[in-house]
Amino acid sequence: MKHDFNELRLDGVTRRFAGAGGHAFAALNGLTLTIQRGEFIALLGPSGCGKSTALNCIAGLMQLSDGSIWLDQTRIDTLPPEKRGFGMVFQNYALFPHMSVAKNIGFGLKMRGVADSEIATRVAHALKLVQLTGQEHKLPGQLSGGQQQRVAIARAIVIEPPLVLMDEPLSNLDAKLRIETRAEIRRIHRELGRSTVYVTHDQDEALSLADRIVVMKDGVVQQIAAPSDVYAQPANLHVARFMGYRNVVDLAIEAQSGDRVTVTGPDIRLTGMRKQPLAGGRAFVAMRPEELALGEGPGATNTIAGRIENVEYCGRDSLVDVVTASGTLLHVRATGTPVLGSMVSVHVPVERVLIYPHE
Amino acid sequence: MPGAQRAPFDRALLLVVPAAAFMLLLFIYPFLYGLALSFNPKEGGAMANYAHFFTTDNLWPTIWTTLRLAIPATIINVGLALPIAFKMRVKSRYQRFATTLLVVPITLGTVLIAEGMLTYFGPKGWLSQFLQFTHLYDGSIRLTHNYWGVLISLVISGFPFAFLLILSYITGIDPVLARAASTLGADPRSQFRHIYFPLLLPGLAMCFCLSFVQAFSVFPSAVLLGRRRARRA
Repeated sequence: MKHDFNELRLDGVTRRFAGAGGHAFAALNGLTLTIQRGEFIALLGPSGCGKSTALNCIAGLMQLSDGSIWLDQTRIDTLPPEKRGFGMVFQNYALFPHMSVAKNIGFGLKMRGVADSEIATRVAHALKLVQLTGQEHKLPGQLSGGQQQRVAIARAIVIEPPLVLMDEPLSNLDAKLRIETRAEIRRIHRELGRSTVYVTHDQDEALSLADRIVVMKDGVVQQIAAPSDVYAQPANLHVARFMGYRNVVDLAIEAQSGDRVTVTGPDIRLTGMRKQPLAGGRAFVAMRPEELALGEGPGATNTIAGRIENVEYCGRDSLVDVVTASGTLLHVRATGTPVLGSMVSVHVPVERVLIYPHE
Repeated sequence: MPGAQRAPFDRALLLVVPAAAFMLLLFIYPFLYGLALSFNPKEGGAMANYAHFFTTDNLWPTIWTTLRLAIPATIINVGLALPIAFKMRVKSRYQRFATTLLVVPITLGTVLIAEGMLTYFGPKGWLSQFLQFTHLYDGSIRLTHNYWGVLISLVISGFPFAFLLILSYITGIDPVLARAASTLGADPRSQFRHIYFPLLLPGLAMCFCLSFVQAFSVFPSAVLLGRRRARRA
């Protein structure tokens, strides 16, 4: 397998499983994506969204039911995993318990028939890259979780694969280690310039690591975009909810001009930006807690009156629940000292009110 | 875990005291007593009994015959059980069915197997009648009341045991390891050689020993199937 490529193309990749009652259901449905050389792609979604299925299809650990995978002009979805030569990092590390750290890392090279002296050099280099020099003779069981994960990363990259696949590599680590190892993964990716496909259910991981994020739900791609776009401009309500738009309110459409839409409820009147064509008389409004603020806005637009029903102190700010007279609950991240039970106004800028159609 | 705190004494452990006392009184004490007795013969020095055992000619044929049966039987059992169990390591409906089928002989005692074999493998048994009927083999077949009868019975009774033991060792190995090896360039053969086999080795050794011990104590099979039955008057 050649080590450099220009693009990896997934063309309508589909994987069906036999479900209950003999019905086949598609765990992954028509994934089409082109990955450029050196790109870091995150597959993001809740569990069962098909992201791991996609990764296993790319790795060759799972057969495709439909579609094809191409490495430049070579079709690779018919090849077994050992012929594809992609490095993979597993969620539970999958280190070989009977082999030392050095043997684990050198395994892929040994399978390729690389000379022992060269294996030693390359393993030493990989150990240095993941900052584990001096641990080469230990068994995986003698290492901490974070160290084991770094061995797994070293093992996957030492074969210099055209593509590195990572299946939730940080989910078994504690919070502090997760952030450290995340930075490590980003650094290694930058130093090696290899393409990486990274599966995660954690939006922070996807946002901080990826060049592009593929948001998935129920086996179907919802949005493929740069992190800043997925964060600020979710393509649909599913993506919005997943990206932390916790305030979703069902309101009636009052007026539309271009993408600017005004929606109303009994005691709410909001103007926001339409993200998808609207149909019917009602629409969903999605807003992030951190983009709502307590107090009057400039002019009276997008100001909602309510009462503080709950305050969670979070250090830098507080998470405040504001309930309007008709009972609509809004989550607001507020600085200062919100007083429980007091009447307040909440305002939000027009461009941060996103409006989506009913499904 | 290295550096883990020592667990405080669990009082529930006291529940093993009766069982331990039972073992101590009825197994370990008599065993040690017997062992001590063996070094105190009526005449001669401490090793006289052992010297007698290893120098008396009429004991060697017995030991030799037993080894000649137990070693091949163990090799066949473990050698068959390993590939079959390996093939069946992935859980499926088919696996459960086949496992049940393979384990049935364990529920039969040696005597039942022996009686069944006499009917099936005997000179007028189904197998010989079938072979002669289809002319696959016309010579006379003798598979009971000799070495082969005992060996077949040892395989029938010993195989399920070896199979179950190896299956439990194999299913204890995380299949993700083989998948990781495959992404690193290992074909199925190398996956077995470098991942499954080394991880199975302690289990295989254990299985080999236990199968051997089981086959070594073949007296009932030897008597029932190895020797000609006395003519009933």
